[in-house]
Amino acid sequence: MMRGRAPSDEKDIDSMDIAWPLLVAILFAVSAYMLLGGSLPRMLLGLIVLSNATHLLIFATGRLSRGGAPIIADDAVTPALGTANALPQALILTAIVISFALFAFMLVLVRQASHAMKTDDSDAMRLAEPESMVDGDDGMAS
Amino acid sequence: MNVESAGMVLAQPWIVIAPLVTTLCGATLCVMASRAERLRNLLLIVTLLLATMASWRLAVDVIMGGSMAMTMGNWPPPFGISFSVDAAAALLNMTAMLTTTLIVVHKLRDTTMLSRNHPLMPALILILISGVSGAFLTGDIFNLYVWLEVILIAAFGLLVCGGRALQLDGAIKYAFLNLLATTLFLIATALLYGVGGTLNMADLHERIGTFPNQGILPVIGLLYVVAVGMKAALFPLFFWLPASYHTPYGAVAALFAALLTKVGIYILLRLLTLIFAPVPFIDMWALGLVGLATLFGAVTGMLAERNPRRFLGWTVISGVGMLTLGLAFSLDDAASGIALQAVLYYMIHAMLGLAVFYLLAEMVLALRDRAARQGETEALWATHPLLSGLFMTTLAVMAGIPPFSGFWAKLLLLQAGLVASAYGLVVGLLIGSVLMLIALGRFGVTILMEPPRQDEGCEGVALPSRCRLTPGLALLFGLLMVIGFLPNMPMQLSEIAALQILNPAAYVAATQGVAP
Repeated sequence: MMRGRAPSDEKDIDSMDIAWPLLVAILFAVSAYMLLGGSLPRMLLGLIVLSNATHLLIFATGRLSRGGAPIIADDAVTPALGTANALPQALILTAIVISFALFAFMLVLVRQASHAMKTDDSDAMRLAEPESMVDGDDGMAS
Repeated sequence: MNVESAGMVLAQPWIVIAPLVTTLCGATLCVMASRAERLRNLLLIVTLLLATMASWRLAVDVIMGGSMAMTMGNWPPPFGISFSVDAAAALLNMTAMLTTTLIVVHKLRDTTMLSRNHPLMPALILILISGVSGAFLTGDIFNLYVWLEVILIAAFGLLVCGGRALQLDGAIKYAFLNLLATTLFLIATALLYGVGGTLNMADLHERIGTFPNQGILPVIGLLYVVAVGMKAALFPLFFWLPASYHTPYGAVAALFAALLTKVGIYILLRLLTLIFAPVPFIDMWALGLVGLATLFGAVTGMLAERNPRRFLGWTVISGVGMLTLGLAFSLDDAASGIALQAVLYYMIHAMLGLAVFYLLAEMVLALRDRAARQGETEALWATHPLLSGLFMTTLAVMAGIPPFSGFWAKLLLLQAGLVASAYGLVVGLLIGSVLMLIALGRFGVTILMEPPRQDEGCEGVALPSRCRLTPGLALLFGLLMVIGFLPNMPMQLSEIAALQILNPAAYVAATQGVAP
């Protein structure tokens, strides 16, 4: 027996069945574009859009339907057929909470890093990965 | 499974979650004690010792008595979130706990400035190990995502403890790339749930062959491989590792190197052998070539690297490459048993070995930096013979020289490759090993036998007052030698675990609450 509702039999394609995946796809594209932009604040916004897109995707996997609330009647053990899926909201809530916490951390990290390195362009931050030294005389010269 | 028939009371072996709960409670107490340093360190050690004892008990119970599982909230599986432990999970959890305990014991007695204590560091270390433990012990794939994020946020905190600009830079690179990796993991999980309606790993194993939309399963599988590959640092997604692992202080870097990529490999193992086992989606050669590319990329990095601390990061990636080759060999039916045994033994060796390697390297590099600063010209080999000897031995362990554990690990891998008839991959593995030997040897000679000079990336990191072999480090080193000189016990345990992975009926039965 599956957790949640069984994928229903073929039903008519709703307008939401087209609009929702399209929206998720557009959000993923926007987030990818912003994540690839060099400046850190833009990358942060890309992160937010990425997490939003993911949450909407989780929502969609619970099937978009016009089902009723998944409350079990007094005399039954399982919800009646045709009710909405009760699980995705739990998954999305977990994901939202996690991404919110991580984003809060990233925000402060980006602020501190920009202050410390006097730039907000991630390509210009070369402390952890310095430019290669061609004629360098250094500790591991063979 | 009918809900009515699940009215039976399921046996709830709480030992399954004991390591996890212990470390989480300890983390909370450590946060509450953030003003009293001695109390904090005491809590840290006591919690880790308790968690290690719980992990030991769990490992003994599972290896003697078979797989154990516990479903949260007394919900019948697969509705509840299950924690399912078979021998492999218990073994890896035990090794991770032990390694962390010994690293922390060393850290608390370490006299270098590198182990400077931030008030939140004990709590973050405990949260990190609870995430690692949870990832090894869980039986639910969304729960696995949650533990990955727990690991991530603890790792973020530990990376920036110290506040140097270098650490902030490393943290930015680590954070963005790993966040992306776990988001991809979440996307793949969402898609898998959408196809199948279940998130329980044992349930997925049983029913993935019957899902209605079989065509999308290889896509989901490959998305998982990409996501997990980023976490585990596979080619071409490993560049975040040398960019960030060298930035935090010594014990933290050792913890990261020993634990985090191994969690990624473990998840890959579960994906290939449990969840997607009925619907294989990847070929031995495909995964093998990724592993080879990782190995050669790491070896190239090792040979080209000038910064000794970044060199250590490439060593981690080379281990990951070998493990991926082992997983590739396990995709072949004839070799799967021995390949999985090789992978598990290698993981134990890698966890212990990388911890020792990082801790010793930290000491050696700190001493070298101080010697160079004071203008001494005598090589470290002459001034600190014991430490240099230990370091050279650890290099031999990592390079795979007999009779140390690295040799047995590579031997098992080669045997698996030959049984799988993947001669090209075996040749690649051998060439990679030789190059690794050259790189590690050169590293050792440069660091130990040449006159000290100020290394790039090590400026001002430490001025140790004394440099002594702490009990924690001695124990860790001793353990590494034991699994090398007496490899029978770990190999037998790995074999038991490998056989249980190949025949997951007991695991599935335990998760579903069916009495064995």
